Amino acid sequence: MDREERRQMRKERERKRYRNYVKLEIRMFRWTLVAFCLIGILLPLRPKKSNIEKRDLEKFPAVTLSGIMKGDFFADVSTWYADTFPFREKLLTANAAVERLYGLGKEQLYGSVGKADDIPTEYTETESGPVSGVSDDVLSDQDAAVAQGDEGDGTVHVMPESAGTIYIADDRAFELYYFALDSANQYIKMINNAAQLLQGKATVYDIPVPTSIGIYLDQDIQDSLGCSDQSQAFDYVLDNLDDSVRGVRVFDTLAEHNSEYLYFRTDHHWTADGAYYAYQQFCQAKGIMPKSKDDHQIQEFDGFVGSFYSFGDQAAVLAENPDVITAYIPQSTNDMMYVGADGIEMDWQVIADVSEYDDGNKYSCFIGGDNPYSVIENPLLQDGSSCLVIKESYGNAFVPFLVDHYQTVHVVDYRYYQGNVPQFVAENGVQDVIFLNNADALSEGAVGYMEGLFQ
Amino acid sequence: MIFASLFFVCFFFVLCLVIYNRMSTIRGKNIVLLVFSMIFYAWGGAQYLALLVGMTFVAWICAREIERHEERTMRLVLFISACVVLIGGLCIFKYLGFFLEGVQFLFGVPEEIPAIVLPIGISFYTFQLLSYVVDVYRKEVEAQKRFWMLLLYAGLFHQCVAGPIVRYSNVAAELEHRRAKMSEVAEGAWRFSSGLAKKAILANGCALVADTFLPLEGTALESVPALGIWGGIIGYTLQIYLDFSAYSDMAIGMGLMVGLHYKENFNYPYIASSVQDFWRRWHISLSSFFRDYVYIPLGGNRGGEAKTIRNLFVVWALTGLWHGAAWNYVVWGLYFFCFLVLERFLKRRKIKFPPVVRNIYTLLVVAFGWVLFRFTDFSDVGIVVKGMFGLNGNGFSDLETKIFFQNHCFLLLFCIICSTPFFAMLREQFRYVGRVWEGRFGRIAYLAGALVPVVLIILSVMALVGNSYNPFLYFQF
Repeated sequence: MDREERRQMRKERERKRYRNYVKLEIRMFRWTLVAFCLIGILLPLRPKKSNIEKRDLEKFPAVTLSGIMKGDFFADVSTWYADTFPFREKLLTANAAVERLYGLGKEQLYGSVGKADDIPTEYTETESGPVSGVSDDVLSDQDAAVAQGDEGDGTVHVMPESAGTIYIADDRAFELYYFALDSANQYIKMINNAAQLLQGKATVYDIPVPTSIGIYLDQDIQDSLGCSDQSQAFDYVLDNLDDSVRGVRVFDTLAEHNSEYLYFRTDHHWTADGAYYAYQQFCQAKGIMPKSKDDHQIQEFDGFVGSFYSFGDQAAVLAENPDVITAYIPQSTNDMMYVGADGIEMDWQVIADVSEYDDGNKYSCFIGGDNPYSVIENPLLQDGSSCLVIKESYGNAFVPFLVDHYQTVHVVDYRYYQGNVPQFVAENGVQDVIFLNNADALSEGAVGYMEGLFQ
Repeated sequence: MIFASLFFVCFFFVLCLVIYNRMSTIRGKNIVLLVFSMIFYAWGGAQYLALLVGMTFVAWICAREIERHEERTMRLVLFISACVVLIGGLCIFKYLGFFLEGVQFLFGVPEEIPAIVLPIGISFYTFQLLSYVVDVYRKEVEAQKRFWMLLLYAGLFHQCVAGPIVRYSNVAAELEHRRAKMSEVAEGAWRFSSGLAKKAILANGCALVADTFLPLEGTALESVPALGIWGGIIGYTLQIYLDFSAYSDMAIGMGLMVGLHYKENFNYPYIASSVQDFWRRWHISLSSFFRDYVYIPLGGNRGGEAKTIRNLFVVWALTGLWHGAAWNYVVWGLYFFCFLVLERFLKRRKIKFPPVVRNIYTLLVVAFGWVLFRFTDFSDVGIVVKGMFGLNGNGFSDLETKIFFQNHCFLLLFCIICSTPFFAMLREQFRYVGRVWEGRFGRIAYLAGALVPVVLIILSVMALVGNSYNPFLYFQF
């Protein structure tokens, strides 16, 4: 009897435990769903913009009869509901973390591998057909100038560059580079034309700058990705420039020092240290003495997670290894003026404090980001020396080093500046015109913009 | 509306459950289900809802009249009219374009083929209504007196749009009176969450693999190396199973939560030991529909070998055609027909192979079948076959393929395990422990079990938030 009783009691306990378990499971399921339902209903919590995707999110659709009959209205409601779901970005980030468990993730590729043209040893003309391989959507013509709000949160800085294919190895991202013969030839012609137009009035310098892939990524891997050798590409360009143009070769110097922090891991730009080596080479070409880094005041900004992160589908490895921006403030002055896309003149600093800025926008500490026109006056020099730097965003880190050498440094971003360079040179007595272009600027779109400056 | 969408999971379904549970009578509960089902279906377009209601009305009227009349001719006439309307409707919306293409090919006319939008779920609810009419005609089930109850059966959002094909006789009694036992509700919660996670996380992940390596566009397809092609086939094979079985899981789960019992639609098809076995485990409701309403009426396997083969041919051509209005689907169906005949032949001669060989053979046949299924253009199939053997000039692998594989290998492995009963068996062990063991381990086991649906839902919501539109593959049905 005792045993039987005990067995009965145990069975009873089992049944009770089972019932409790079932109740618990149902309750937890129900509460989870209800919680999500409530979160979803709280309309004020719904975001309107996505910072990471840099777009406005879907709006609630308008009610139309045809939309209801055909179902488009309802489909749009579903899209709106999902697109503006509260805490969307946190959920996206959490999901990205889960997706990392899908595989090893040591290497990642965002976008597809392209095909490069071969780099000829001597100048080879091509028919002007469509450019192969290179991502021409590299530069968009949106009004992408930095518009600093009064609080300087820098959220409006759109980065129209870097839409190419991103390759990540370990904790560093690269943008793949493909040589396009057509564009290279166009670039050469453009520079030579500029030199001709400016003959006798100003000296033209051309500084093609490699991107990080050329300096940091193993040549074997570059080959397997089909990428072109940037040093060869630059040799091709520089060898075919007019004799009057002073070409500045920076590839070898950077390659020599590639154990240093010359390029950002999470962004497609170079660091000020990388720009410093280019500055040294420029000084050599011009025949002046470069200032040493120690002569400058240094400002550092950490937590920089740049373009490769947002364009590379938020690869977590980049967010976990943010970059540090080291900026060297010119000795003579830190004041500058720029004209924004809206045409309004703004006083700014050569190296601005961006510690409060969005993580992705900190590169705009250099000369206030990309503006149509900027000018820096050096109060310590009265010799009338001036230069004009024609650049896209790589020039930003380079320009501060020039400030101590010229009375006036003019800077134009060829994508946004609407004026005419020879005219500008004549009116302002500019002595040096410096083209500072990164490898991706050897593309049809970019060269087209630069050509526009000389028409 | 799609099950695997935030709107459905976080709004529609929750609202439906809450209001459903508030109702105290079965009538109230059924009305809630009906209203929500109509909204669910109208979400795809109110005009298509009119079609569903219309078809149901025809089936309802005819079935009632068939039951009322005793003489054979009247019953037959009513029956045939219902079938004509139902099948005719399906044919017009789904197959007219396909048929006209054939006519155009042979005779040159008509010049232009009108593009007809396929109403969602028409293949499913038409078959359900057909099964109802046939069962009433055969006196196997009583006709439903109330129109709205039949509409509830045909349009119930659990299975109207994505299956399983539920027979009226299965749910007739339960629609009228049912009780949802707590243990079943819990089981339903589990099925629903695991189905949702299967779709939102696993199936969509495999879809990415499939779309990367087997792109639908011919020129992109030509540049995929051999390893990529095989990876794509594996990815697609997994995707289509996880996708479809997930919807059936969710439907069965939702049914259990309200006390409706639908039959299983999938039984781990990828552990099948023959093609015949595979079709007893895949989309069971469809193959049993064709068996009961086409194969057996035609004579089944009585009447000699030739007749059997003819019957099989018809069934498999129709099965293929049901999946899509294009020749590649018909070929896909007949592809299985060939293997089924082959297996009959081998069985007759008592030729047997070891289990592992049988399993691998089945998987290869099925996987290649999915290639036929995926590409409507036969030239693309040719490209894939060449790629499988490395004959399309892209070598074995390239960097993109290698990187993609590396970054998705765990996912694919996990999905392969999910295609086996492994996790189900694991769950059984946990439940046993939780139920029987007293003390700490028992409590941990059952707490863990209770948490699983919650975790799965949270993970699924996370996955659904960033999802670009990834519709259910069988949605063109």
